[in-house]
Amino acid sequence: MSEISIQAKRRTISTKGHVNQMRKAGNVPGILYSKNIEPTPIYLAEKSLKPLVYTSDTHIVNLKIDDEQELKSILKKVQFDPVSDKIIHCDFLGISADQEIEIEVPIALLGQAKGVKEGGIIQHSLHKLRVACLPANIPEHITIDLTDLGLGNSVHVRDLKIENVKILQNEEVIIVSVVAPRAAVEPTAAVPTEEQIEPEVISKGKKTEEEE
Amino acid sequence: MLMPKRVKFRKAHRGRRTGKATRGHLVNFGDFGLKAMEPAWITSRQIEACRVALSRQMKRDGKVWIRIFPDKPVSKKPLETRMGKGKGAPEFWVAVVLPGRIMFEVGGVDKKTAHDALTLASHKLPIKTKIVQRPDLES
Repeated sequence: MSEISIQAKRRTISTKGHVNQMRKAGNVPGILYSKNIEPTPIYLAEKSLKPLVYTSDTHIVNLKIDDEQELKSILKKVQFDPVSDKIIHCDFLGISADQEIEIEVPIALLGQAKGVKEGGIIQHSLHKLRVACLPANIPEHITIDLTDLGLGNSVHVRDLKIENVKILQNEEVIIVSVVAPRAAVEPTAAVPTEEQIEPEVISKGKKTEEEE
Repeated sequence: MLMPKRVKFRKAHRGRRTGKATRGHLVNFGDFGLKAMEPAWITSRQIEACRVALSRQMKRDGKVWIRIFPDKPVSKKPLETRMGKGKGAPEFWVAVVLPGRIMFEVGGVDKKTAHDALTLASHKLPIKTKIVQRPDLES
């Protein structure tokens, strides 16, 4: 599991105006929390956060706040602006070597499935898997080998066997499957029929009046 | 075309379209999505036109997700009718879309096909849009 060092600064004023000014200057406000320490509001450069967010791997972050000692943490949550898609806030969870943590690990697909050669289509349904493990055992990503996956077959969460990692996701969830392609029918626009124009009204024992 | 099967009330108020989307603004199912940059009422016909455009461009590959549903009835008065005499009859159905909302998602196709399909779909809509991808999707 790779580690990334990030320099952050302690945030003393947390008003909306101040935080917005911080964002305009190219910084991202965030927070560091852990089981035994008080939550610490921080801010860090947006540039330094990008390798952590726009990646398909999990990383351990060595967070250095001001001149204090480096703290091991993971990126727990990222918030994006709905319109501009800029990072507006991030949460770091402080970790200790003997404490189990919950984390979402990305799933990577490997190889070409047998079913694809037969004309099937890969349908990747689950992109991240929620697991619980010790920080030393966090997988960078979970690799699924597709080579033996035939047409109509799927890989479920229950099929995964990862050492020292507890999977928290429902076992029946499909991760990836090879499905038969749709029939080659030219898609046409659905035209509403007379019945479809008005839906059924849930009446409360009183008839609705007809419009004039 | 999309519309509710059952409704509690036949007619609805217009409402206000202020603010940004607070839900449904992240690509959750597929790899690429079409994001609204302006507020709008998207009619069921426009959604259907986008669906057809996406399916046609992607041929038999990939999967399309429609993330909006037209659950708001819009009423209209008949032509050459005097004002008054009550609200008009329901005419069509719309989905209320706020800036930031992901309206369509596609997955299982390469980046170029997804971009081409979503560009075609965006031409069927009355608003400015942008194509986005999952943050953890390596380009």
